[in-house]
Amino acid sequence: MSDRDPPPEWLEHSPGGRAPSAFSTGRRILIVDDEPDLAESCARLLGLKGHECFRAHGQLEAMTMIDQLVPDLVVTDLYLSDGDGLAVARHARRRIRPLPVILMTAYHSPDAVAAAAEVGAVDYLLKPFSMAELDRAVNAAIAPDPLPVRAPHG
Amino acid sequence: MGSAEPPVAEESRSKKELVINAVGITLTYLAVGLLWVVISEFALSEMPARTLVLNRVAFILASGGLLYVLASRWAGRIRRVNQDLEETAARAAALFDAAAWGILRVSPDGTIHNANPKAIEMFGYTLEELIGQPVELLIPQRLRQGHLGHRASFFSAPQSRQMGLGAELVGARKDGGEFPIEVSLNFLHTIKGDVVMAFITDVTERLKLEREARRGETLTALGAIAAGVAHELNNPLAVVSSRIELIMATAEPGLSAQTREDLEVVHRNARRASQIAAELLNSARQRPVERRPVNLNDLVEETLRNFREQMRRVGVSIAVALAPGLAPIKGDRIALEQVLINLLANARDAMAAGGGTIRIEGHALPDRPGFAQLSVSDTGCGIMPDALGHIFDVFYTTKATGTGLGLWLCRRIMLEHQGRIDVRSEVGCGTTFTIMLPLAEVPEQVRINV
Ligand SMILES: Nc1ncnc2c1ncn2[C@@H]1O[C@H](COP(=O)(O)OP(=O)(O)OP(=O)(O)O)[C@@H](O)[C@H]1O
Ligand SMILES: [Mg+2]
Repeated sequence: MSDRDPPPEWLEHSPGGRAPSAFSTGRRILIVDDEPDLAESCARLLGLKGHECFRAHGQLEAMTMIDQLVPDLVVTDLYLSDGDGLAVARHARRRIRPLPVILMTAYHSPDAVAAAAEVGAVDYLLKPFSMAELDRAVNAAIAPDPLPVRAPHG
Repeated sequence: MGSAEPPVAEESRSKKELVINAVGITLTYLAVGLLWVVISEFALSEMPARTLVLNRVAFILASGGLLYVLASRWAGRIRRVNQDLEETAARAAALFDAAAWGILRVSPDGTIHNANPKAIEMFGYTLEELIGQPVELLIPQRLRQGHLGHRASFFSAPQSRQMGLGAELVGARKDGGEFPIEVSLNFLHTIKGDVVMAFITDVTERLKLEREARRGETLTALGAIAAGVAHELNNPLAVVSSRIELIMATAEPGLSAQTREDLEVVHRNARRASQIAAELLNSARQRPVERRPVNLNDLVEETLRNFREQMRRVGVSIAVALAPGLAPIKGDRIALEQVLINLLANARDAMAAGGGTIRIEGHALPDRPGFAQLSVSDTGCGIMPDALGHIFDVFYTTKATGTGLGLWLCRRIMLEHQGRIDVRSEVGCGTTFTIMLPLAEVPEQVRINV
């Protein structure tokens, strides 16, 4: 956590600064990144917030999991080593009940912002993002009234 | 004759003229001959004494008529040829005067015999100053000796050609300024002697455009590299920072304050690394610079804070002379700091052997209201004149471990600021880089003028 990030909310609520392991939001989140270490980081951190997380490392795997698990939210990297994360996002958005999508990217470019807007992503995170940023984006995405996509700051 | 007329018409007309000529001559000859016969017949029967006289008169008349006809025909011819020649000469003169090339007429010994207005404009001499001078007058001093040799070999086997193909030719103006040229040589063999017409084009603009185009290509390539590098760098950095957050979030309460602080430092620096990379990569792409008021004096002081000690260690002292209360300029602080750091690093490298002094000066420009100037001078090795034109090129470096990105980036940043960067250097004495930046607030008198 950099100096500027506010402390995570649960830190304030739970005495001793520990995650309440029994607490569950009942939300299921699919995290797609071809970097397994990062997917694991995100999954574990969101797990601490009480979300149930699944991981996929490739495009096909991600699409299959979307169809089988029907998560509440998809968080995907724009670039996947076996293809385009945008295809995953489109797949999630094309369902009868479109799933909210958060895009992550290691490279901030006007093209990427335009693509995020085009698929109707809820948020766009620039790597390396802090877990507070991820948490904020996820909360906004699974709230009943998702925010429109906004440009990243940084 | 009319230059628009096709050659076929010209040819058929000259044939017609020949026929008319022949018929005219024949008719005259017949008429005079007939007269002569009639008169001599008549005279023969009447008075033979006069026959001789009449005969002679008739003969003279006939020959005279014949000569007259021939002469008038020839005179016409000659007049027309003369007209043709005059017109050709006039056309050549008009071309000579109005040509987009500079044209020089040069004799085999290299003496200039004539120069057209374009050549005069190009080199800044008057016609009188040029005529009678050797052509070597028009190239830089340092190249003259070599040119003498080239000229001698050209005249020993003259042949119209492009001069110095593959090599870069340089012209020198009267004021000493140099400019790149292209020359084509046309050898003429005339009754008055051999001459060479040299057609000269100033290619400054063209070379500039070509260089811009090449720079554009490099930028596109850099953009592609930037995307790749960002991906390769930011993913591992994201893993590092996220894992540290995980450790901090899940650690037992017993995690010592020191450990916590250490982790935070690692975390902060992982993010900093990615910011630095982004900054560098952004400057490779077309990034709009921030435009905020920046106090140049603060900028210099702050940048130097991190540099003074390091410079002192390598025997370099820094002298700063900033005009107090210099009005803020408009720009991107981080980018400008980068410019300054690059210039300081270059100055330090230039004085690697034996140290020296870096002098930083900053002041407003009285003759250019609305701009401030900052210069960084060193007492280092200096830059060779022929390298001066390349130091701002991307990847140009003379250092074993240099990237050649430093000055290229400086130039880009200055262009994005609508400012400029200039260099003056003397080998063995030192180098001064000068940057000029627009002020945040345009001074009163300028606004009135606008
Ligand atoms: N102050 C100076 N004195 C003498 N030569 C200089 C000076 N500044 C630049 N140069 C010359 O210009 C070249 C290009 O400079 P530039 O900053 O673009 O790249 P570099 O310094 O070689 O590499 P890097 O900036 O990555 O260390 C240098 O290699 C050097 O030859
Ligand atoms: Mg440098």
